[in-house]
Amino acid sequence: MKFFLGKMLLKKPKKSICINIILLLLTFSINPLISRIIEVDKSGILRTIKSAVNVARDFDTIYIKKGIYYEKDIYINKPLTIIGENGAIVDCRSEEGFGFLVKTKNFIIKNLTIKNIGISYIQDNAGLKFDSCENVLIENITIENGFFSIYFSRSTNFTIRNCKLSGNKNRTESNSGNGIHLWYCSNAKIENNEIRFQRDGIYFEFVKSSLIQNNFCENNLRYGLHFMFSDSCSYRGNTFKHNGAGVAVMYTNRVYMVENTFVDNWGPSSYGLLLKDIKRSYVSKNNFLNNTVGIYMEGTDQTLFEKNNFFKNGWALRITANCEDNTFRYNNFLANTFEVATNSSQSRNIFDRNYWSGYSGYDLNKDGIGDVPYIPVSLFTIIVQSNNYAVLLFRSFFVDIFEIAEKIFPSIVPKYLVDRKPSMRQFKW
Amino acid sequence: METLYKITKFQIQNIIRSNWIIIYTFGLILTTSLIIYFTNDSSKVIVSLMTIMFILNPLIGILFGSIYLYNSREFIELVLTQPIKRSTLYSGLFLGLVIPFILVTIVGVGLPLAASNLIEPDLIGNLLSTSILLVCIFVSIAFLITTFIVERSAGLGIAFIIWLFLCWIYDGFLLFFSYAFQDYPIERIILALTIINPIDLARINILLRFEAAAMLGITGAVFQDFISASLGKVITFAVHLIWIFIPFSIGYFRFKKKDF
Repeated sequence: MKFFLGKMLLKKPKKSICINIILLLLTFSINPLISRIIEVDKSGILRTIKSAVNVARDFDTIYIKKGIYYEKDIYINKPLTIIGENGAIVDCRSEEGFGFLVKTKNFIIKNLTIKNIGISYIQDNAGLKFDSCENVLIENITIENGFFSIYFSRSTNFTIRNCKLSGNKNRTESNSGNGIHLWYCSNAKIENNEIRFQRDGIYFEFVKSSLIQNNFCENNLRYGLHFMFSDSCSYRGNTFKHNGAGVAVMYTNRVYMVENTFVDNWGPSSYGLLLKDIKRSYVSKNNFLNNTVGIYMEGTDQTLFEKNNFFKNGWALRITANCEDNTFRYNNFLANTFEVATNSSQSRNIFDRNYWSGYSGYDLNKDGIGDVPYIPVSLFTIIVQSNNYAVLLFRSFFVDIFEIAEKIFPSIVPKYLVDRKPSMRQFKW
Repeated sequence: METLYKITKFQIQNIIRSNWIIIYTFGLILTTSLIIYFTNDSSKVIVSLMTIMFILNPLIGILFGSIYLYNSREFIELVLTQPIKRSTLYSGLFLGLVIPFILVTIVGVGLPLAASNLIEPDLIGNLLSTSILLVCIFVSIAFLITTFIVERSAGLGIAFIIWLFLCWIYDGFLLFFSYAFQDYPIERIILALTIINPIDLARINILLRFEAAAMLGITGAVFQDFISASLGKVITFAVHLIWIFIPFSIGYFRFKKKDF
């Protein structure tokens, strides 16, 4: 017993000392991790965001109170969280320079409005400019009258969501910038943003493994989405409406385009979706409505187009001769002026089981598949492909008669571009 | 002036009394309403109406005009025995034929269109005015034919061929021409050639005013620049007027000297 008690007495203080030491160590080590909240207030001690950033230590939170802050070139080089109160506005007064310039890891910015970013022809002025960043979250940011709005270069792991970005509707392509501009980035996630009156709504160049989801790009001067050299990216559920030239996806492998809506991209050089040098991609369940050209394809290979709706486009598809091994299946082609146009003299793409509203064949065995193959290329598109001036005969009596004659005595329209199993019923996707 | 008015009035009464212009009017109203009812899409309606107004209407104009003039040969001879100037008689006949056609177009196509509220009034106005100009052109061509060719069947044949040429064969030549010279910068020549033909000019003029314009691409853009410019508008109108004026005046000079 004595021995036991002695052992206890000997041990007990040892243990508590251990715990104390550990606790002490912990408190010392945690201390710098306890972030402070620094308030910026028009009538407080810190009246500018810049001064707050200077005062802040790593991982502090800067809380911006309501008011208009006439500031620009706010340079951030430490991990911070910036949160704005409702009505907190940063106004750059259209002067040369950035709103925020961020070069750090672990940065969060939320609930802020940035206004009037200056035009520059030399540098890419942006509301929020990020260079070599990691782990960034941008949420609920409104940018009005922007040049570039959100600009990332050489960054990875970031999310942009619920932002409203708009440029100036009175500008031209040359003096406006892009809404969300990504250059050499990876693992980006862009969700639920609304982008208007920018040059390109969303611009991707050399971006890898990123997701663009549920965004709304409208009335942008050039492209709703401009997408180059960005392999393994996917975009889904976005709406691209009435942009100058629609959406362009170029020089890319493995793009995943699902459930997007391309609408009202109407003009002499405008497309719903422009695909140039695309390989091994997937285009599915998209809606193409009221575009001059639904999909314009050039050098596109091994891509699967399925379950898309083409409705009321000038041309549903324009396929140049250098497109190979693409498959079109289970698509709906409804009320397009022309269904498919091509300048190819060989069949290199497969059309299978699409629904064509221009189809007038029959189905004797009632299996839902038409017994007569359907050729979706019309004579006039063939003529126009080889002779640009012939387009002047569009909607003329001459062409109408010619088309009828061609239907009765087929001679010019190529037989190779054919859907051998056209569906009798419209698909519901 | 009074005699001109009297002749015109008599003509119009006479034409309306012959039932088939009324039948034609109702036919137009019915077709237009059906097109509007079944398509219910402004651009498609315009395209369908373009066929009626720019192809069918001129055909009716030129054929009905020639037939009517051949039929009223005795009436003309009778009037000529009276102390009436030939120019007055000629203009009276022309106005008396053209005015019913204008009314038919306005009532047959304009009314259903205006009632449906599908197309903006600006474009309706454009469609109607272009169509009216076209009818005037073809009626004046009918006058030209009937003053020169006495024999009825030959005259009607020529009327039909002229219509066919302007609305069909000419386009074929245009296509052939553009194929033959497509390596050359022939935009302006094509532009000129298209403008010369009143039916082509009317078609392109309307096409460029609604959204199909974008489908014409670069060649269309050249036209758009030309036609939407104020000079282009003047020229478009002038070409149509010239097309009315030249056949009318040639026919008039012939009519003046013609020995009935």
